[in-house]
Amino acid sequence: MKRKEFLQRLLVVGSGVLIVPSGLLTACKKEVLKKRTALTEKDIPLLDEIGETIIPTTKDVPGAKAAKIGAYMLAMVNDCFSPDEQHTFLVGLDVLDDNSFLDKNSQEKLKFLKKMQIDEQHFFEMFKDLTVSGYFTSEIGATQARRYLPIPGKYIGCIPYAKGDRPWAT
Amino acid sequence: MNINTKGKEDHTYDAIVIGSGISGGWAAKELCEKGLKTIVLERGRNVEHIKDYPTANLHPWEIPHRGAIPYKMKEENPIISKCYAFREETKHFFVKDKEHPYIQTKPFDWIKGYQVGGKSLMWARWTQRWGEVDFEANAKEGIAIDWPIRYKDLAPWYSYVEKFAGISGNKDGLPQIPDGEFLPPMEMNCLEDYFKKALSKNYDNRHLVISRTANLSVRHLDRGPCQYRDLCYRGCPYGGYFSSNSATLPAAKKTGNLTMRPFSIVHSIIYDEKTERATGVRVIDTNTKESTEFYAKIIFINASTLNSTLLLMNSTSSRFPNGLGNDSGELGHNLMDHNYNARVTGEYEGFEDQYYSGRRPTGVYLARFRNFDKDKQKNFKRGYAFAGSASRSALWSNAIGKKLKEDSTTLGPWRFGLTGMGECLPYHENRITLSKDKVDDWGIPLLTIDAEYKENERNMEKDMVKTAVEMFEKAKFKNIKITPMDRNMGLNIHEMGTARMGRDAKTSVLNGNNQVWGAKNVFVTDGSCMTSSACQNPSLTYMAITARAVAFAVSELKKGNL
Repeated sequence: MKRKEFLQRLLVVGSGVLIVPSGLLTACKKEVLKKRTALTEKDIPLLDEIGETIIPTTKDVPGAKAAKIGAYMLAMVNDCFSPDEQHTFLVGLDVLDDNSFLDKNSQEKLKFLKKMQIDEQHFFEMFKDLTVSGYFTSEIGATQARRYLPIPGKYIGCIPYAKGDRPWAT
Repeated sequence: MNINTKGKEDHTYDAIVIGSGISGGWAAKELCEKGLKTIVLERGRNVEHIKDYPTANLHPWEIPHRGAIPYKMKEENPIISKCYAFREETKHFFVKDKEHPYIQTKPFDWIKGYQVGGKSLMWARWTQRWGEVDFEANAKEGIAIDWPIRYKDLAPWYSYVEKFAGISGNKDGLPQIPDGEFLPPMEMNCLEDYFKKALSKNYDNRHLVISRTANLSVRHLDRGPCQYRDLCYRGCPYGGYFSSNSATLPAAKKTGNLTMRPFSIVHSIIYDEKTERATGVRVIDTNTKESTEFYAKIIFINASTLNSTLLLMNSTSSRFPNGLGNDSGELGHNLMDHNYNARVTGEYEGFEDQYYSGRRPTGVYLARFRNFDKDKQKNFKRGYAFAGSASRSALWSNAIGKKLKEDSTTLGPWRFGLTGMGECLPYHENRITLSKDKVDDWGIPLLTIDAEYKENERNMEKDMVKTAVEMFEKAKFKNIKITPMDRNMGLNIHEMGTARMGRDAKTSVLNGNNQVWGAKNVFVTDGSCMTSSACQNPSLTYMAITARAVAFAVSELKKGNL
C-alpha cells in the first residue's frame, strides 16, 4: 500500500484517533537535530501555530490553537511516537525554525506549509495528521466544528441530511 | 498441607465455579438460583458493575491520548496491542503480555481478561444462534468426531439464556441462524437497507440481517436500555449490554448463595480415585501466593478456553497421569478460532441526502450461504458469514487551511465494510501443551500453543474476498478495496476446542452434558468444550450450554448420582 493511500485510509477509517503508522515515517536518513533534542512545553507556541495554520479560526468556529493543539501534539509525539518518528518530527521543526516560521504572518505560514506539503511531505503529513486528529477530538472540534452527542439515547437509521449539516464527531 | 476440620468446613461449598466470565457467570447464577451454596474463584481483581468503569463517561478530549495506546506500552505489549478493543480507555481490562506469558510454536495471539467478569466486559456482543447444520457437520463430513448434541437439544436453552440476557434482533426465519427470543431489533441505515435489497435481488441465498446483539434496545429486567453511545468496551454505566458484572453475577448474589473470591488462581483439581470424583480444588492466592483448598460436590470449569484446558492438563493423578479426563489423549487438541482475514470496503454514490443519528453498537450480519442448502463448494468445507456496516465520515481533504476545515466538516460519501468470518475445522495437530520447563509466577506450567490455519481456511478466505467484491460490484458500489489482513490465529478471540464434547471417553474429554469423562462431578462449559467452531460468534452458545449443564448437574445431584 502506498503511504499516501495508507494515511488517507487512516483518516477515513479512524474516527479521529490517530494511529501512528510505524515504519512508514522513518524512511529518511537520520539528520542531525539543530535546536532541540526533545519536544518540550517550550515548543507549544510553535506547535500551536502549525496547527492553527492547518486548521485556522474561521468566522464561527475557533481553530486548532484554541483547541490546544500544541499540548496535544506534545503529548502524542512524546508518548505515542517511536524514537525514529520523534526524530523525524523534530527535524521537521528544525526546517520550520530555519525558515523563521514563527516570524511569518498567517498568509506566509500557509504558503510555507503548502510548499512543505509538496517538497517535504513526510514532515507535513505528521503535522497535518496530528492537527486533524487532535482538533476533531478536542471539545471545540467535536462540539463546534462537528456535532457531538455524548448520550444519543436512540439510534435512527435514516435521517434527512441537508447540505451544510455538520458530520457527527464520533 | 494441613487443614483442620474447622478449616475444611469453612472451605466447603455445594459448588465451585472456576472463572467469572461469560460462561462462569451463568454457571454461578444457575447454581445459586437452584439453591446451591456456590463459590466463584476468579484469578483477577474484583470489578464491580458501574463503580469500576472509570472511563465510562469520559469525553474524547478527556482521554490524554484520545484513545491511542502509548508507544512504550505498545512495545511492551506486542500481542495485546493487536486487539481492536485494547485502547487507552479500556486497557485496564486486558492482561498485559508480561503478566501471563505463553509460548508460541506458531504465531497465536492470546487475548486475555483476568478480572471478575472476564472478557464479558469487552466482548463484541454479537449473538447469532448456531443452526442444525453446525451440529451435524462433523458427522456428515467425517471430520473429527460427532457432536453429542443437536440443535434441538440446545434450542430451549438458547431461549432460556436469551430471555435473561436480553438480545435485540429480528426474526428473520433463516435456519442457519435460527430465530430466538428477541427484544426489538436495531435499525439498519439506508445504505445497509439498500444492500440488503440488492442482495435479495441479485441472489437467492444472500440474507443480510441486523445482527442479533446483547445490547438492550428496551429496558430489560432492570437493566438498560442502551443509550447508543457505542462505548461498551469501557463498561456500561446504564447496564446497556450483557456482561457477568451487569447481569448474571448480581442475580447470583441476590440469592444469598454466592461467595465471590477474586485473586484466586486454581492450580489443579483434586481427584479421588476411590469415588472417581473430584473433591475440590487447589487454589493459589495471586498476591500472597499462599495455597489453600476448597471442596464441593460439583465443580464447573469456566476459566476460558485455553486456561480451562491448562487446568485439566495440570490436574494429574495416578488415574489420570496425562490430565484430568484425558483417557482419549484428545485434551489440548483440536484448537480452533475463526478466520477474519477477509476485509473488503466499497463506496456508494447515492443517498447523499440521508444520514443516521446515534451510535449503534452493532452491525449487519450476512448469514452463511456457502455449503448450505443448494450451494456446494469444491475446494473448501463449511462456510462463513460477513459482519458489516455502512457509515459516512467527513470528506477526506488534501487541502490545508480554511478549505481543509470546510472539507472536514462536510459529510463525505457512504462507505460499506464487510469482514468475512470463516469457520475453522478442528485439526488434531492444532494443539496446546504444558511447557516442561517454564512456569508462570505462580509455579504453574506455561502454555505452549501450536496451531495454524490450514488449506481449508485459506481457500475459504479467498472465496470470502471474491464474494464480497462480487456482491459490492453487483450492488453498484464504487472504489471497492480489498484490505490485506494478516491476523494470526487467536486474534479473533474465538478460541475454541481443546477439551471437546463427544459420545465416548475414547475420543473426547466431555460427554454430551459437559461432564468430564471419569470425573462426573466436574463440568467444563466454556469454549474449550466445542467440537467444531461454526462461523457464528460463539458466546451465546457457551451461555446456553452452561445453563443446560447446570440443570443436568443439579438434577443428577438430587438423584444422588454425583
